[in-house]
Amino acid sequence: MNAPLYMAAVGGALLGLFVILHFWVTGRAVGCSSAYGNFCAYTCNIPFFHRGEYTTRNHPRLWLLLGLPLGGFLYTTAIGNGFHFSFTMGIYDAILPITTPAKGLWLLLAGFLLGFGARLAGACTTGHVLVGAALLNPVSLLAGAIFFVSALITTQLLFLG
Amino acid sequence: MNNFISLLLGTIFGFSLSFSGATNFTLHAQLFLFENSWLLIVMASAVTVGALGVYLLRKHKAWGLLNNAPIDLSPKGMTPNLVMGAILFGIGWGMSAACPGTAPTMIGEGKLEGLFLVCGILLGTIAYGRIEQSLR
Repeated sequence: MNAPLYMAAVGGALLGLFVILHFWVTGRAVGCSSAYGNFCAYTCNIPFFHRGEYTTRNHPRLWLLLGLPLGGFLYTTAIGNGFHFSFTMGIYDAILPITTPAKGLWLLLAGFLLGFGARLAGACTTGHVLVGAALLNPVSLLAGAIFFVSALITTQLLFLG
Repeated sequence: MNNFISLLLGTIFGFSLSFSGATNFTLHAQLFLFENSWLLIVMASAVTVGALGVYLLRKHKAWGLLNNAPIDLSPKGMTPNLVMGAILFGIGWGMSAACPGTAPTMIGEGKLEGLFLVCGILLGTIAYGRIEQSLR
């Protein structure tokens, strides 16, 4: 990004305001990772996806997840570089597998760890960092700190060689 | 109507994530390589504004507009495998520069990485659902 650094603060403020807007409109915290379970409820009959927080399959949080690509599309067409398909990952391209199938598998594995890890930890970056830290919840601050340190070590190791 | 409102909220969220650079792979790598503080400023600003807003919601004992009940500001509790889960999540974050919120947003920007990531997240969620009972 070539934008001045204060735009980062503006972007962060947008995210913070959104967390509050979501609380105020729906009466509950915004979450992303748990909504993947609602999608699973439509595709598999594992009991976990049909009880507790997944008793209602067609839950608004699933619709929130569906809105995300619309927002990304809106940004890229209105302010960004315009919509076009890409399969390049910036400076990651220098260290990631070169062939397309290998890169796809790499991303599938990364996604698997994100999905599995988020359910074990109870929430993802949205629930534990954006919301949890705003609530000053010690559990979320711990989870967020571990997310950060673990990603830091992983990235350092990847770019080390 | 609740679903439609959430679709709109998700659109606002996705727009904000893109706007903040959260879907930019290089910015994540540079954050963890201490080369660029952009995303650190994004997170600090988001949490500061969010904490201020939560303080105001608590102070005014605000009610939700759609559910017409007090806003649920209860914090998430400890889970037995939180530390292990958070470590695994962080490895996924470092490998892909993405998280469960930014991956679908990437698809809307045309970044095909998002498709693979979303499939992976679904598989990881299903795997958790399968072994969840043995974890208790």
